[in-house]
Amino acid sequence: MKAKTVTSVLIGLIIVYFLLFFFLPLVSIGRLAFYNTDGVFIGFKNFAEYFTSPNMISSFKNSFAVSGTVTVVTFLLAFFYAFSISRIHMRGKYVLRYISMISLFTPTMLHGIALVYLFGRQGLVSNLFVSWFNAKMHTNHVFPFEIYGAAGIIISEVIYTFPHAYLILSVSFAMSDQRLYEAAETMGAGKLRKFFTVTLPSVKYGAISAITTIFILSFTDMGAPKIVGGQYNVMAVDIYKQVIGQQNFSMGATVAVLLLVPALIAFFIDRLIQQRQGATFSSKSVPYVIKRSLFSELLAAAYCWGIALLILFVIGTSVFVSFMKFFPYDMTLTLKHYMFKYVAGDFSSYLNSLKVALGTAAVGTAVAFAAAYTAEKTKAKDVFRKVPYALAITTLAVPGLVIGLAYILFFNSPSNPFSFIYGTLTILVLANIIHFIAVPVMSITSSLKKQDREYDNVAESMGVPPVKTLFRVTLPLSLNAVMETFFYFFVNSMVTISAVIFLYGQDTKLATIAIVSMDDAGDTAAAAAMASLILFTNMGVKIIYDIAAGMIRKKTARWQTIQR
Amino acid sequence: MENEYLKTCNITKSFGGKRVLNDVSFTAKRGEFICLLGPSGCGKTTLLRIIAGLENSDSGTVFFRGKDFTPVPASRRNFGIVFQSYALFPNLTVTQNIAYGLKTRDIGKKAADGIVNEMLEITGLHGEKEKYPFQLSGGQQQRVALARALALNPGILLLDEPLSALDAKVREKLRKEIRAIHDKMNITTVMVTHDQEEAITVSDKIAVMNGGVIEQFGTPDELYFTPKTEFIAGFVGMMNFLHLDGRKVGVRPEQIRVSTFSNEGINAVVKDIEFRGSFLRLFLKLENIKTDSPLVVDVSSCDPAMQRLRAESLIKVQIPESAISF
Repeated sequence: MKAKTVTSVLIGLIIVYFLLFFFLPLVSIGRLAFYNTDGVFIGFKNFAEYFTSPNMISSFKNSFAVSGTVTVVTFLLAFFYAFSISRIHMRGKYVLRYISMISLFTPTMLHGIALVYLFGRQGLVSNLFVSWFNAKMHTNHVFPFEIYGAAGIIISEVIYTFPHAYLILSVSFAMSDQRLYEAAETMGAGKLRKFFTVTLPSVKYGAISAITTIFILSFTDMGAPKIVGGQYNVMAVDIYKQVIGQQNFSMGATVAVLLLVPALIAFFIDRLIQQRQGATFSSKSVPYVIKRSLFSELLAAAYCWGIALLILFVIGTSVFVSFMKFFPYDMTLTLKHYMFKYVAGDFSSYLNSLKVALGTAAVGTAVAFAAAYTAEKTKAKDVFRKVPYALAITTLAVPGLVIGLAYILFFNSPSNPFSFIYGTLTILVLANIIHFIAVPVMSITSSLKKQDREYDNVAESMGVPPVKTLFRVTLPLSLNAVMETFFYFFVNSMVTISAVIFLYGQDTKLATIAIVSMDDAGDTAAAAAMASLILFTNMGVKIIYDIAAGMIRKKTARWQTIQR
Repeated sequence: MENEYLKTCNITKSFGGKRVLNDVSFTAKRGEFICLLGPSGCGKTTLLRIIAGLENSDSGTVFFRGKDFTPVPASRRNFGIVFQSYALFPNLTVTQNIAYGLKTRDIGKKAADGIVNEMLEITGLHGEKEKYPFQLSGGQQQRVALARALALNPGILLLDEPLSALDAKVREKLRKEIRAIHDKMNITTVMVTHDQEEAITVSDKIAVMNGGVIEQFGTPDELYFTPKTEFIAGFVGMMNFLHLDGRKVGVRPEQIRVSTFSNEGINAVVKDIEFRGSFLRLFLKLENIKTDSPLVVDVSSCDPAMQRLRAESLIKVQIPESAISF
């Protein structure tokens, strides 16, 4: 009886949490987009205005053009990268996997800054190399393309989305069943036939997930276009300009709705298709056995290392520049850019970022676990207990920028009793939790699903209170997922800019925001230094995480089955 | 009270509009070993879960020692449950698993240790007490689950297909052990199974379930020799159905006599022969008598006359008087 009340209260609290910090803020965006300042319903007037403004329309087209291109390019690159790593014998796979994930640890601005240093007007390649070449060869070449604009955005977004796509696809490749290949072989299928009839169908769902993820990420990112976009406008930057630059909130809300709709569509397509997936991979499946072939091994190694080195080269450029006195003219090692003196940003923003990331990780992990736990393990009525899970998953469709804008509109209103959190670190933490909670809830849920449903029934029949079973059995068994969640929240909070750019206050500036303002002010080297600092922090946390995970694995190895 | 130790009255349960249990009632005496037997989807596991309190019935009552237990939550019933999947906590050792429920009771560490040791003794797990579940064989894991359920000295022991995940040899051994433990502790037991052989060998009484109702509740030999319905006759043991003088009659394969040299009996043709080790199973087509499927007859595999039989051999069949009419 008592346990039931506790569960109901817990579920109720989570639902209230999502209503208050997710649903209602979104409603306030809708209200602003469809109503005028006097609260009169104006229908699609704002949208009509949007689509009659040539600037806005070009941003609209640009956004689709850029993210469409990014989707195709990243998907193809990541598909063959994942395929090579999981299906072809190669040395250094571990390193390749690591390198591919580095850009998860960097704010997207870092890629933009690197591209400017390499190909910008004073760039290493575009300027110095070309003039050196011209001098040597007595020619008069001009560097053929402009990095500011579509090209820069696309390259940055490809680097940004690559690890996301790779991770999703590599999971799909890992789930293939060797028995199907053997069956195909005994029926005389050739290599190409096997690829099209076994490999492709088995990664179909992962591929769709990867495509929608790449699209949503690149469509809604504002970090890279802010740095290398130049005159090439995209919708994500438009919101920022409308709201911060012109204080035109209703146009900002209108763009936000337009940004939200494609993201929502992509999200629902993905959900719909994933539901059809069912269990294609059973415990009886046999893992794929790699066959040796010198030609494909060489080809795959060249391909993977090519990509890995390019990623390293771009990210490395920003890091390298941050340690140079005055790149590329004075290449003396210095730490002066890390002092953040006489520039448009300072070190306290880094400390704020750390605080927000830790807060998001701690609270976010608890909320994510609670949402997954109530949906998966409690006995409340189906409709009721699944609501927190459903709400948490829906957050995936809502871009950070939209969350950020929704939060100002909602919490900045004086009639809101929570308006006191406006301008504090708390609101940044709350925004980040909503922004990133979907993936943690999904991964904790799947880890809970792996646990026997009868655990709780056994405990109940023995008269053991559920709380005890939670701490004694359920939590220890989901420790991996919980740690992963903590790490995920931390890293993403360190690199994010979209939601928080609307919400920081005088004393709560974050590192990523400092990067943008330093870059705006022309303190590019300091911006690179701040971006590198975020990268180093995340890598450090990753190392700590790996060590901790290793220790726990060793400790729990005695009862751990082969499941990883 | 001893005669109505556990009683379920008119239990009805539906899932999403589909009726799984329809007005189910049965009574267990104290110390009895009851089996709920039936094909998959017959509602036997749901009935067990309702007895356990893990599922609420739509209507009907569960009485335990004369008291209405329907509103009592599972955590207060003190019924021990063993699940098909064992549901052992993988992060706890054998000892910790067995002691799991004891810890929340105020019985003191010494008493708890004593109980754990006794359980290890009864289930023969002393050598494995510090191991983790995945280091044990399937049979050992099932014994831990049993020990864990018994440690709390439950009013009733509920077993949900406890043996179905084990291979044949282990299954046979363990079902003897379960019965031995039951006899030793004199604990009233309800076991769910779909294996009629298991049910017949282990239980005092069997409730055969089909389509959400108990079709017959009786001792194993009652079910075998006087089945009330065709379903029971066909489900418990092998049964031939013949159409004799306009009525339907059931005969067990071992009750039919066949002869290769006698002149008495009905003419039949051998359609197929299965070698089953100790016996031969003959599939016959009878002359002039309609059967639902080829007549099955079991004969000794040592009989030289039977050994000579081949497909299309002619044979005489005698149907005994003891045939059951439906």
